[in-house]
Amino acid sequence: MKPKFTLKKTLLVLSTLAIVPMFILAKAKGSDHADTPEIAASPGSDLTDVYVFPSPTSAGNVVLAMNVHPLIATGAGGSATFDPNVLYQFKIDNTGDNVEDLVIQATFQGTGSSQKVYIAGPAKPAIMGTKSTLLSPFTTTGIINNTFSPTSNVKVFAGAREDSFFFDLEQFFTILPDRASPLTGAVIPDPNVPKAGTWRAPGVAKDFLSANGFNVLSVVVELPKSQLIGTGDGKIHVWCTTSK
Amino acid sequence: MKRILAGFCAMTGVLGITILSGCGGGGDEQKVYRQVDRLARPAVNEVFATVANGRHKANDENAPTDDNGSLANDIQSFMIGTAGRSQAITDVVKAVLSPDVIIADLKDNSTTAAYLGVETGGATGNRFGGRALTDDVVDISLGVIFGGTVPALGLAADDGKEIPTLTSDNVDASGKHFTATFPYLGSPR
Repeated sequence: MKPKFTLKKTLLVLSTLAIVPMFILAKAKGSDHADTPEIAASPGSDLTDVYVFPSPTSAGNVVLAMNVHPLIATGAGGSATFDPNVLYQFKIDNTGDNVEDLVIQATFQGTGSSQKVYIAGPAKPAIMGTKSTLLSPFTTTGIINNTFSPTSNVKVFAGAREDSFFFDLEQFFTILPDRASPLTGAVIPDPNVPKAGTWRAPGVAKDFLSANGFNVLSVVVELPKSQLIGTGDGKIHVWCTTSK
Repeated sequence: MKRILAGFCAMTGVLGITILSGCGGGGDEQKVYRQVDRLARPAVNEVFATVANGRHKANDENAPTDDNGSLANDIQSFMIGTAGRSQAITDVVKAVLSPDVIIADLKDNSTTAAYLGVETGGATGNRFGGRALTDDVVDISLGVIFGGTVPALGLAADDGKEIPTLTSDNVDASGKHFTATFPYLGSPR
């Protein structure tokens, strides 16, 4: 087994330098951060986390959240923008067949601090599966990093947030270096054979994302549960996609 | 689709037709977008699917209805070959994690989410399911893969193959700054 120092060194640099060079930033990851070489090269389409939870502030509402664009450095959240060429979607199956019955779409126009946010849905998409077309967005448009209401009873935020994922990524890559290969470029023989047998002890283990103060871009939608239930029994199956 | 439209526009150019709806600026509503990434349950594709051989990419670009013939095979290889678990436990993990979707019961009145709550009949906290910001999804997943979670739920016999040193990454949400009000995720650092 060949020892692999490249990633370790990269992570050491990440954790000790206040200012992280952009080329290294573009080369690190998390829960599903920078998951393939293609996605690592296109952070605006890189989905990192999906959340579905009851609204803490309004009993009849549910909150859907997706994170993209991992590893935005501390202090750089305000200048990060969504990819205007990407269609961001929450897909919701409310009949239990794992085919989307409803989608919520987010698209963006322009770049910079006045980037416009367009929201459409929840509505039935014209086509299902891995290809998508645009729904007509609501006429009320938002601005990145500002909460807005595209239609009554619906709240939307699209913009920079602290990366909500917590994970000892450094040790994960030590255990399974294949999963770091989009960043290291190294091809790992026996990609499923662990190269270490244990996680790090409490106190030594580190949440890579908060230890380094990384941010993401989030799309958070809060809406009445009734808008997603449809004719179903109340159970929804949710996933997120990015498309170009 | 893009290529077909481009070809169509090029052809009309040859024929000398200068104005045609669907070409140029008016064509946006016709654009067919192709999926480049897909995500639901955290750390599933990341852990089970190898980057080598394009396994992770394949799952990023297909649909949940493809998972039983694709992601489920990655789970099979990892659970047997890497984690060394029994086929019975592996079958439970495949049945729970494929297709890869987050399941939430919107008619359940729990006030918080609980990752895998629907799939486990509430064993992870409640039957709303979904995923809360503070859910330790890594440790829940590690418990399923390397620990005794599946036997403890009575879903398969204990295979005696637990690896206790791999069942928690020993980090929690204490470094985060979640907020009580919308949008709930912490302000950027």
